[in-house]
Amino acid sequence: MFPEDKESASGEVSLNELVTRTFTSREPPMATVAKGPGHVLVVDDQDDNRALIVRYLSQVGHLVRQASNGAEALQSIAFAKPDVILMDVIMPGASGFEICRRLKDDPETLNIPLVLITGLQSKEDRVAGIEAGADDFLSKPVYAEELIARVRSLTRLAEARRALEEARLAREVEQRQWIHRMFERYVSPKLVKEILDQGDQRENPLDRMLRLEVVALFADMRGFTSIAEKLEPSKVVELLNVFFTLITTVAYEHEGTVFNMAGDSLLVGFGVPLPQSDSAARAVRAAIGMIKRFQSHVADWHDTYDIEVGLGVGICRGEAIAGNVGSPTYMNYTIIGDAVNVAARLMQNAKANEILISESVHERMDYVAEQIQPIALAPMTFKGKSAPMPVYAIRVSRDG
Amino acid sequence: MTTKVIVEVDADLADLVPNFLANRQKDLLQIKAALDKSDNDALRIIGHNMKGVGGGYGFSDITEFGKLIEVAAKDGNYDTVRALRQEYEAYLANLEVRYVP
Repeated sequence: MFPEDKESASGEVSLNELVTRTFTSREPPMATVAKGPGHVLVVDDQDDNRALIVRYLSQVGHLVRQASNGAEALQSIAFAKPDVILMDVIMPGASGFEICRRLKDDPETLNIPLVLITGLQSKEDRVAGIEAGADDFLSKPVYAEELIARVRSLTRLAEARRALEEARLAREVEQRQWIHRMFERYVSPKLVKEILDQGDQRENPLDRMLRLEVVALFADMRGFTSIAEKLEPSKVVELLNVFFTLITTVAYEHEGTVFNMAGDSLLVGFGVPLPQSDSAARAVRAAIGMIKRFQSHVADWHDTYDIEVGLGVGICRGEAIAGNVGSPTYMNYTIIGDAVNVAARLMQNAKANEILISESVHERMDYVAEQIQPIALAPMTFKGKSAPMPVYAIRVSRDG
Repeated sequence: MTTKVIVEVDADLADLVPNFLANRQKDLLQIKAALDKSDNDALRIIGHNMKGVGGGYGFSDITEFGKLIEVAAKDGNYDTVRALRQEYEAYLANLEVRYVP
């Protein structure tokens, strides 16, 4: 039973109850500190001093716990943080200075106001108390008015600190949720969590402009024009939604970041925004997965709508810039760079069920491990490129 | 002829005072034991504790005795401590507490 449970309806606590509120290890921890006049821990090896302070504070409604030495105080605080600690300096075992220093060095207890109650009057002793981190001093003998005023003031301070901390935590949660909502448009839930866990919570990762090595994958539906010509617009949209759902699901399974959907094509990045040591292999696996997964629909759509579709993919690795690009009214998280342009050109040249990859992707592939047999194609010349580029094809058959 | 020492104490503390005064009798025993061992550290701590506790209960004289004992013990002046102990014993013996609301 919590000590508070024994209080009367008026909130008054009997002296006997207060005096016996000395910490014991059987006392259950209190998750939160009670609101109101405040929870005070009195630490003093002198019974008479503790009894007097308990009496004065309980008369004005404070809940008071007691400890007769530093070790007991630390145990009591570990179980439940008080709003204010009143601590004697000269005690058997660790002194009040030492306990104060320990509490002020611990982020968990740093913000609990601590008053050293001392009969030591010298300047050196006051300096030692300040250096130990004490928030205030109270001279012995203790007088009721001064004690109550000091504790009331520090309780208010504790409440203000707690409110500030709660507001800070709430802002942090809100910021995290906002980032989560923004990011989940682009990456898998697992990657969202990873990004949030790694990043600075006060910063939106999407606001960072990063120059990094990426693997860009462009996937495009072959035969889309015939769909648009043959089917009603609502049916076209329905099939496109099936298509994009399918390939974005595969992209997320391989922890890719979906940057752009336009018409019937999709841009996915690997190694962005977080580096992936196997980004090239991930991209190729994702491309194979997209084609295989889409093939089951290809047959259905052929039978149902008499249309021929397939998927062509282009993949290139290279340096790119990732970040929010656009105008203040329209902004998109994307990747920009030569690798992205080349991936688009490769995709344009890929046939249905074919993946075309650049030399930079080819050199990162362990084809034996991936059980893939690439085909070296004749070098291709792309717009904006002076020299022909080596290109490799991976063809995905229906049976794998 | 002895003179009563009358001390007025807050009635709210009435139930605490008997125990408080019983502990002051222990001060006398502890001072004697420390004097017998010429233990001025112990004497200093006893004086310090008396200084800290007396005034809060309304016994400012006990705080004064404590201050003097602490200072004398720091200087190793056992004769002064012995004399102060006698005065303190007489003070406690002649003490009459009146509770005021």
